[in-house]
Amino acid sequence: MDSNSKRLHPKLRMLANGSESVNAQRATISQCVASQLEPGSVAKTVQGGIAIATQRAFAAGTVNGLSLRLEEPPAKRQKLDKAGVATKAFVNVFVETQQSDLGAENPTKAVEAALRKIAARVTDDEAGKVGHAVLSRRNFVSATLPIAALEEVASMPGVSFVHSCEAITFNLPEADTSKVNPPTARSVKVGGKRHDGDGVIIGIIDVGGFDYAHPDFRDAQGKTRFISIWDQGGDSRDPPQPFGYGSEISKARLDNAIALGNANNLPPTDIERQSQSSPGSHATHVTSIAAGNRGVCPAAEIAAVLVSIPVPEGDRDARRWTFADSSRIVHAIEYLLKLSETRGKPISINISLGTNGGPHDGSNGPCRWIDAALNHPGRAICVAAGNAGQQRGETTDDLGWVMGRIHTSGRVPSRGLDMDLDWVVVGDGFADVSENELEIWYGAQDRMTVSIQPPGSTEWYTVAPREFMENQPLKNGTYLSVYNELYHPTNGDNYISVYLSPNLEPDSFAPIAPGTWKVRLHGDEIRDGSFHAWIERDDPQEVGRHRNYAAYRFPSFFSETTNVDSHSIGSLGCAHRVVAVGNADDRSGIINITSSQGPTRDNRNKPEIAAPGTRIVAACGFDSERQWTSMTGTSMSSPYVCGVIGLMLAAKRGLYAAQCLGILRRTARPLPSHDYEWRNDAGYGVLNPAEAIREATAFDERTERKTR
Amino acid sequence: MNIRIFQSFKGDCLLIESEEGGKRILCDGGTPAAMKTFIAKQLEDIETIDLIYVSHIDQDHIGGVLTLLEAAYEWKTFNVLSNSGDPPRNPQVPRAPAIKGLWHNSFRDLIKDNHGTIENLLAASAPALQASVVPDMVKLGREYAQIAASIPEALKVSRLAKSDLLDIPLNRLASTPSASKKLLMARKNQKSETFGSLQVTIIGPSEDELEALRKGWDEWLRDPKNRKTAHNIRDQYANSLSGPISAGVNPLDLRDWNGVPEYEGVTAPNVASLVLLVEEGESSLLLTGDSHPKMILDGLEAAGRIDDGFIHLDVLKFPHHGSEHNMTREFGNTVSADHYIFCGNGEHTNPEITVLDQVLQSRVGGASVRARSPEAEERPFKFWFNTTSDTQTNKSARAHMQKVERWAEKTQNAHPLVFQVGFISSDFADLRIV
Repeated sequence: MDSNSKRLHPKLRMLANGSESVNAQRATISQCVASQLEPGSVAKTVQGGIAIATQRAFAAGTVNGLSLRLEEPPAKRQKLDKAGVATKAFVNVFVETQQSDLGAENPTKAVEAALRKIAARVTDDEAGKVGHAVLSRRNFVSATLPIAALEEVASMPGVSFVHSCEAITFNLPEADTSKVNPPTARSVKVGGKRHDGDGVIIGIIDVGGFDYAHPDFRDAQGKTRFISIWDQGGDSRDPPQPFGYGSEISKARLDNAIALGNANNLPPTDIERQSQSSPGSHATHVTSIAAGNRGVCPAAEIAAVLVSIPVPEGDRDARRWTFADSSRIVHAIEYLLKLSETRGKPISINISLGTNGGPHDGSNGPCRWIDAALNHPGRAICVAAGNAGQQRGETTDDLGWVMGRIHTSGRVPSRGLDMDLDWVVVGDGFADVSENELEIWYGAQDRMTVSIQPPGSTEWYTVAPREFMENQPLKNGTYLSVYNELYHPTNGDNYISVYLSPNLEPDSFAPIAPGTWKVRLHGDEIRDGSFHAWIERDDPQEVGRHRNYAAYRFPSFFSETTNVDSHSIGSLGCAHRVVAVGNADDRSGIINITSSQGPTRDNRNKPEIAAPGTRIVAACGFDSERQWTSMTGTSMSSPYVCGVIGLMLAAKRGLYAAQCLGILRRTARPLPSHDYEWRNDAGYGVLNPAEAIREATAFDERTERKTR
Repeated sequence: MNIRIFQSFKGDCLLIESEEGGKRILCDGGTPAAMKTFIAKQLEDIETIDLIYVSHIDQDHIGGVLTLLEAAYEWKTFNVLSNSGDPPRNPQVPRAPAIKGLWHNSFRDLIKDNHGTIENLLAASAPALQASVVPDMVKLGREYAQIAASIPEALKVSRLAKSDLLDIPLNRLASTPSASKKLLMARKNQKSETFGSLQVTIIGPSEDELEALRKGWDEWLRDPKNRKTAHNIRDQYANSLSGPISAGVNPLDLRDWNGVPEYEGVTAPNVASLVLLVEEGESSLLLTGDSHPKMILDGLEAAGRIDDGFIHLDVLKFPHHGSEHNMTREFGNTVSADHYIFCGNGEHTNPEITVLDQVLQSRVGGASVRARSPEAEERPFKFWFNTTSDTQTNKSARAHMQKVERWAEKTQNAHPLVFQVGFISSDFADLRIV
């Protein structure tokens, strides 16, 4: 391995090692890779036309996969130098730069310029779909790059590390279909005076479409309170600059659609369309809680970003083009901050989406980018803690725990001893065709060797520190990559990345071998011995059928004995300056069991706060029959806090995100029978809006004391 | 009349054009993929479709119709915005013709009160069944999933047709205004509808048949055994995520609900297919959806069309893609045609060779199986297949279509004077009857 590779995140190394055809196939199942090639179109050596056409159709979800050959051994993989590196597949990265010496020139600008040059090689046609934005903040540059250029980027002077992006998870609450009464207004009064958020912007980053014409978002003149929507997956209007992808819909256009809708008796959202408009939309519900007319900030302006979902309705082929990873959230934040700046108003942003990968200590690219962006008055971001709190089913048909078993931790007690982890990939009717990733983190003072045993096998594949195994075919058809790395450049900790990839060769496509994969940690040198591991998972989603198998992107999970029920908070929520919000069931006076737990891996207390998130009634988007619907999840809690921060910013424009956090901690009320101690699900307690505003208004009033 | 037979994957899609008056009826819309790939671009130059007839809600019949209505709606809203002087990017779908009418019986109207619970139970048991490795259960799960998936599609079709969106009159009968907007069915003394020179008569289902269907679904829902079985499967499935599934459930238990023994093996929504007889002068075409033969015969009898014990048609759209449950000896004895249209692409081995044989025997076989109509005697007839093996990407479907092609070749050699065959290898083929 050449030395530059060490500056690439292992996941990027694994991708860079895949051929063009493999990455084209990967793009159809991965949220973090996009490709312009149809799967199979570069593999000229495979036998017969039917197989390729079938693979392609299967990957696009249009055939049931009956003709895919599952039982035959995988064909020999072409060597990468013959097959060709992936120039037509793209990945999002955060490039971290390092100033060589005090006083030396900051390399960020130079790296940014160099990345722009690489991005410029991307043709216009490709750029229109994947975007080619190169943005920088502090010592980070975010870019969309051809996978083939990764090595080149890693070797640039000034580049210290190339971070990968994490997939956004879409384990989102669904609208309840039963009839509900309209919500009572979430009005916040302090000393009898209603606070309404006038003068602030509420920014919402979400999925499902924004029903800007819903009565909950209309002002007294019947116009919408949305000032702008960036539809990242849309193409009906011009994209915003400098991002260069998606479609930006201005307030004038939204209002024009409302007027035309009235004139033509048509729903306005069908006239000025977004790429998603699902009935009972998540985004609409979330926005309604924070900033609807019956929400917390009824007088705030609303700015919105619609993040692409991996499978656009009715067009599964478009999946190849779609990124749904943390870079898109970072771009969304930058877009909203720019709006706040140009309008001269403070902004409170809500993100009811999450990601699982990374070190869970706030040191990954997106977290540090967000922290850097929040180092400015009048900005705050709330993130839903996640709904991965559940570790076993409450009833026999409750599969929520599958989403919950994503974390394990423990200690290798001393040198020479082993710790075994059970990592379960679902079989029996499912064929998991997506990639499964496991990241293990341990202290810099220890050395551990990792061994992997495939299900039903007696063989162990062992990788010691500073060794790696890249895309090695196993007998069961799965490809195994393991990287045992020391001293991660951003936090100094040691980490082991394990990737199970399906066979993505177009002529011998095969799912990941189902069953329990054993992961053994062996203590080579132990001073502390503690470790954490997270599964970066997919959301369950059927992508086709494969003989008797439903081909699934399916979350792998830890066995019940391996799973450790803590640290399940999403990785975005681990950023230092964001507010991570848990889900309180205020009617029962408890925390909802699905609410993800903290703390972070570096033992910071997250989530900080809980807010009502159980059976919350708010606007039901894109539904001609129902105006209101009820949903449950941290997705509903987070916008409540976002709205209250909006009120705090309206009261005190100059608040910093860190101060908002402090005020929320200080004013939170413990749940019944809890004390003021931080708890891993409720944080410091339940949000207390009036007290938080009072505190925000008064905290910087100073009284001078004199001796006499 | 001219009948345009489209490539429509495993679904049905025919376009009928009248000789006089330039009226058009679209019969089902194939699968969504078929509409996108083959059909929509052929409809782009057509100004109006006078009637879209959705035989029933299965996805391979209604899916393409939904795709077409969505395109029509997208163009309508696009025009509103363009006329305001601020056009967005052009819709990426071909322009759809103006649609003047829609005939479609929705699941909710068929089932009435219990539709919500039935839909939930279907949706809950389908994935569990499909996840099992027992072939029968997987098949049943697929059927359930199809119903569960087609219900929201049917709702979307109804929604798009409403006056505030596309404003397409639904189930409007010019001849019987009192029956308009309700469920379409064969009613006593119900007159035919006229589209230019085309006369369209509703042959089935009858009110009794619809009532039996509704009861069947209610029984399925009420029967605690069914609920329990569905739950058992799901429990097993939940427990087996880390262990092997044991097939302790007999999937056939799940079908016992269907209290109408004659229709055994035909999925429930299929028995509710609207059956239409289209006539123009001396020409006749029978559209059967996925209906059961017995129901078709009962309908023809009630309509007084088989008083002599037989009917000979110009064209028969053979029911349910030529699947094995949809052919009986009595049907072959009673119904014959100059042209038989089979819509099936080899998936689920449709059209079945045994069915093709039975139909063939009704024309060339012994007296007991032979069609009674004197017109069918010694007269040439043609089998139309709406696709070819070459068009299939799925290996098993391709293999089955190859079997069908071999069968056709063999049959042609055996009966060169009477048997003709047409395989549609391009986007469509025209069959003109005068």
